[in-house]
Amino acid sequence: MRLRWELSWARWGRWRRSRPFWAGLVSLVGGLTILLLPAGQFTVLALPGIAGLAGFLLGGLIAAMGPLLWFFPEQRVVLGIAIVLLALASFVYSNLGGFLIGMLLSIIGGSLAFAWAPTPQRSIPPRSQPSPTPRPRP
Amino acid sequence: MAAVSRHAIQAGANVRVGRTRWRRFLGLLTPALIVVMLMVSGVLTGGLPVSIAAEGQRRIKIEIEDMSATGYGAFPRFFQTQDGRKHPVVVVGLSGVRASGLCGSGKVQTPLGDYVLRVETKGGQQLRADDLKFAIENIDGADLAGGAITLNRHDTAPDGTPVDSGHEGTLPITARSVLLDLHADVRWVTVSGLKLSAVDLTGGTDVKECF
Repeated sequence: MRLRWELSWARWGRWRRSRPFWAGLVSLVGGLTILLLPAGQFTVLALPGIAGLAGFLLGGLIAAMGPLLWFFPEQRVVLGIAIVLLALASFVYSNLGGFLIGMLLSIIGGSLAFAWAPTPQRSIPPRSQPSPTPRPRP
Repeated sequence: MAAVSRHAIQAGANVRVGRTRWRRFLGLLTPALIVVMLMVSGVLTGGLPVSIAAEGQRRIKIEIEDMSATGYGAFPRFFQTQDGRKHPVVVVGLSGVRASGLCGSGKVQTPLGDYVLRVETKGGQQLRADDLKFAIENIDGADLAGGAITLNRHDTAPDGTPVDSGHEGTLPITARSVLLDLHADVRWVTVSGLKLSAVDLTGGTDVKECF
């Protein structure tokens, strides 16, 4: 039982370390902040005017890009820059970017995604093999 | 079993892990934060128009020295709350809003006490918004004091007779020295093209309402 738990924990750790996990999570939270801040306690799906729509559009796009970073980590540079640009746009179009909180979280998430890179695989020098049986000299 | 799991862990060790390059991180974060600072200063000086949407129940008090706007409609709409109920509201749309000597305050009751948000323009400065819409659920009472509100009297003929100046279906509104105490439940407000120049925005439990 403990071994199984350790195994799944190790698998989760590997999954997390092999992709920009924290970048995706921070972007997701930032996008949701922009998305949900105008909604308050009501479920108004679309407020009229650019402010209401842009919150859903920009917040939704940023929130969607977070999980995209997890499943397509090779696109991290493009997604990271896109998240930062969308976050900057949200300042003008949606409640000052979720009252600054959502925008700052998204900018940090996008920058983390942009900065993540897989560590180069180290080439391990082949261990010196013990020489095979010495050939008899001619 | 142990041999199998050891094998699984060893197989997983071949997965390429990554890390954050902090120089690269700062390389994108720094210019983005510079843009943010420029935008914040642009908004505070009125150079950059922003859009705002807010929702909730507010009691709003508005004091205006001078205001002009064009009303383009008051139309009924519905909005839905989380319990699935639909509430009828009247949406008032105003375009080309120009206001000076404006003080607006809204009081919200919170568990920590009454929270007041107050917006005030500084002397001689004008607040401008391209489009303003607000949805009123019900009006308990509207007190209007002093000053004058004129509707569709933007322009006058050379002899002083007011002439229709608004486009068809719109209603130009001009107000001077108006104290408006609106006890209404405003469900949401959306503003676009809002230019705030020299606006004081204060909020807190110790902030006083406009009047």
